[in-house]
Amino acid sequence: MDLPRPLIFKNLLFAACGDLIRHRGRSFVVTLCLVAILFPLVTALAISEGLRFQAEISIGEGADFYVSEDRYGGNGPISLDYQSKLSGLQGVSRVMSRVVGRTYFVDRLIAVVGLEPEALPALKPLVRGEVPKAPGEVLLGQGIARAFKIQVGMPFSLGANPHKTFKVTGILSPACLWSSDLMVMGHRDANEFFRIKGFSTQLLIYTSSDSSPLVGKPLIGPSDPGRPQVPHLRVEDRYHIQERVRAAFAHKGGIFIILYIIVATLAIQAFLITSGFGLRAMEKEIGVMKAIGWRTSEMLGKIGLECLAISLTALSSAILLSMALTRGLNGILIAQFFVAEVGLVPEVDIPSRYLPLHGLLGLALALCITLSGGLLSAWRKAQRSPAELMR
Amino acid sequence: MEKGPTITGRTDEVKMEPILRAENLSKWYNAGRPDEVRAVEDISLEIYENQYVVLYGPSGSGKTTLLSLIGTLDRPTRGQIFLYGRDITEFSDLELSRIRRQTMGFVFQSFNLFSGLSAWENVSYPLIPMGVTTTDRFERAKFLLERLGLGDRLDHSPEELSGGEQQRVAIARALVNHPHILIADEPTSNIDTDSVERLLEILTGLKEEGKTIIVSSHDPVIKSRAEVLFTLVRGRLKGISYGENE
Repeated sequence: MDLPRPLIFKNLLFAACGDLIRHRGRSFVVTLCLVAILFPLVTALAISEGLRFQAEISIGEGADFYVSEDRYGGNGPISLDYQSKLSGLQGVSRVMSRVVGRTYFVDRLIAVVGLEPEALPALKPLVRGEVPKAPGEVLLGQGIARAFKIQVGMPFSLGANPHKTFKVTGILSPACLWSSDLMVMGHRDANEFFRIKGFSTQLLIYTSSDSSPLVGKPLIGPSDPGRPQVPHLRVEDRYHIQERVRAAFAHKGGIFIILYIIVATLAIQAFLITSGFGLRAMEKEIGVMKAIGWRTSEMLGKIGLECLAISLTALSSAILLSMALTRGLNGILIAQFFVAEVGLVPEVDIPSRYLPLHGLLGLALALCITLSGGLLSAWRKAQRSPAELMR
Repeated sequence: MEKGPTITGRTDEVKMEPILRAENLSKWYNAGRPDEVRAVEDISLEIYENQYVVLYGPSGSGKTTLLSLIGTLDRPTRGQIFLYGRDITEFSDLELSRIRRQTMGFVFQSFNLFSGLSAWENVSYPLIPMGVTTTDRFERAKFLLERLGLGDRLDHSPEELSGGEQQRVAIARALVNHPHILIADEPTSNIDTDSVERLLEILTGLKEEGKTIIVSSHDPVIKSRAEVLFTLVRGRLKGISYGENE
């Protein structure tokens, strides 16, 4: 194929844009189809990235180490006796205990977190109402509160432990998706609720930043590989958890993209085969262009630029539409397809994040579709004689 | 006028090379199948520079097919075509495009203008891949359209033009690359009587400028102006005759 000189390229680009406008009906339908194909991809990637980003922020703001007891290779409750032992390690600034578990709120599976009393006031900016101060007081996530029409001050009990009565002192803000189905209470209440007195499900170790390696070494890096110093504890550092979260999102994202591309490819092929949209007109125009002296490479160049222009238009439209729906309308109607347990009208803020990489991925997909639909068929037609094409 | 069938379109005795020569040209569609159509069968002819040639015959006689073959718009099933002495039968697609761009201009029966483009944009369309600036393209299209009496129709789209005007736009498009040979397929079939007269004037004018004109037609008016008349019947060349200007 001849390499177009700048002026030829400019001419072809203008001709391509002009022809898109000239065939505005066809351009509109093709763009619409592309938007329909790109929109779910762009939205899913943006929401997935938003979720991952929120998770990373949470992890980044959390403890440096998470310690639990090893129970047959899994995490088990850890005795609160370790709290004072771990506090004595060099570089450790604070050790907090936390109870994390799951239970049913009527028929809804929710997460329960028990925090030490001194950790609760930090939640104040995220709470509508008051943070728990007395035993039996809890905070509820927006999702639970809305679903069961629970107001601040209302008492309730749960089926897992019906003898224990709780009182709602505040509702967690909808800003964070993770807090939607969350119940936060004091550590002691959580101990009683899960019947693990004297234990915690995790100990959170905070260190001064430059001391982390010093703490990590005696805990997870035994001096003698054959003799671990604390063999029955399971320790995970923040970076390890971050890596796991990234890997999980990348894995899920990768599976989604592969499935999406398979479905999209099949849909596109079906569309191209069944519609034959505009092919006859295109065939005749190719014939005329060849007859008046256009070379095949020049025609393909023009059609390639049409594909690029239409791909960019469709991608921009898909991104704008996605942004309008995720940010302007909080993912109404669409978030349910990408986030579990979110209804038609999400009760919590749906996070989303648009990265240039997602745009490039969308553009690559759009180009694959348009080029395979436009350029390939144009090339095949251009192999025939102009007289045959114009007939 | 009648001089009997011959393969040459030249009557004088001076030895000149034909610019276009066809040897035993055939074009079969669906060759080898029961529905095979032999549109053109074993035609040989010569066309010399600055001639006004008419391929004459009734509908279905193979005029358009022959025009497509000698105009490099289609490839023959058999036979050879020589342009300026070079056998172009086996030329690549790229080489044929170069010939169409540099040597020939086409006026199609149904004009084949691009709808939605203005008259000047249609005329200048062949110049787009040649790297001609928009200003130069406009100037060249304007010059040609004014010459053909369409100076006030520069911005009109084909849908806004009459049949005769559309044809003149198509002629201007065919001339925009300064071709040596102008090929017109049934140019009078889609225009009114007044436009036919105007068309004949234009073609005569172009011939006087030195261009070779090859026209296919079944119109006696076109036939009467021919310098060289090739008569086709059922895909075969039945005769050649010479007009009074030859």
